[in-house]
Amino acid sequence: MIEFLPTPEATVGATLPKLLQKGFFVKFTNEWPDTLPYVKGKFFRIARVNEVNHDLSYILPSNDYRDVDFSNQAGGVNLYPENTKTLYEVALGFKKGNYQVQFYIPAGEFVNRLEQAGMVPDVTVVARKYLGAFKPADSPYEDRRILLYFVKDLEPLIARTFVDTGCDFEKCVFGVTINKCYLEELKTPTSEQLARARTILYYTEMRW
Amino acid sequence: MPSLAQTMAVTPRVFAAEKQNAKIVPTQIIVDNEAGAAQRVITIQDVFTPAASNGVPAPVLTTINRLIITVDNAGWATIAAEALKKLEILGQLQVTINVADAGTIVTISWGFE
Repeated sequence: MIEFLPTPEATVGATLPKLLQKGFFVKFTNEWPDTLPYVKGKFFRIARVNEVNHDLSYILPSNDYRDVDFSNQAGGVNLYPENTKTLYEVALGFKKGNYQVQFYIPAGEFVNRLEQAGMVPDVTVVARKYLGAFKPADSPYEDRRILLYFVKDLEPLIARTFVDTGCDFEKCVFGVTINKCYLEELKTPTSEQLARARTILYYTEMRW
Repeated sequence: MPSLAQTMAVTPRVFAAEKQNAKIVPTQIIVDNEAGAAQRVITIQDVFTPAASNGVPAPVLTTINRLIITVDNAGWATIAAEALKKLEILGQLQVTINVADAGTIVTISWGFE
């Protein structure tokens, strides 16, 4: 559901496109909940794609944060699909600035945390404000390295956007590419298709 | 790269409206006070309304002075890119003068980041 592409150490031969393309395969694991039966454990071919670019921008005061809700619920920025046959693959990057982003899904449950009790991100605690945080250099606006996968009625993903101390205000600009993918289910994929598919994990599989 | 010259016959003068998805980065500021009536103080201001945040749920219009320049009567001031490198305007770029003076001309060039 959330992927972070690290900077490549080396490139050998032809590179694959970063985003899903027509004819690519995706599989959703069985960990997806029963409330999302249209994707749980299913295998799809991408029938067509349409890339939609968008920018989000917030001027925020120092040592303060805003929770940006990516979902379509009230107050959200409406980046979730409405059709059960649509997958949104969202590439997210940030313009430079003195800020950072921590993700949680659903509200209150951080994606990136450690195993020791209490080692969860918290921008109000000096010792943990950088824990699990993505800074603009981790996913630049021009080279978006954070990939998010949204289907209809997925729980809201929240990006806690925190402006660090050391300035009065900061302008936080998110570059967003929404790769709209129309899904065509394959009931009996071949072993080769299964091997080539991109596996889309449910967020609970990233927390243990 | 946009550039604009305006007299300071009225104050404030707006040079660039906020670009929502970028910061305004001045690359050159020239203050020509040759025909000014007296020494003048020019202030480069950043004007914006912040987004609602956890600490400030109902933000208000905010004006921040980013640079203040004093220019002698019959004098000039030129500030080039190197000196302006880290000057960023988050919202609207505007200029004020301590006393409105049609003899004072401000020229600003800027880009976006």
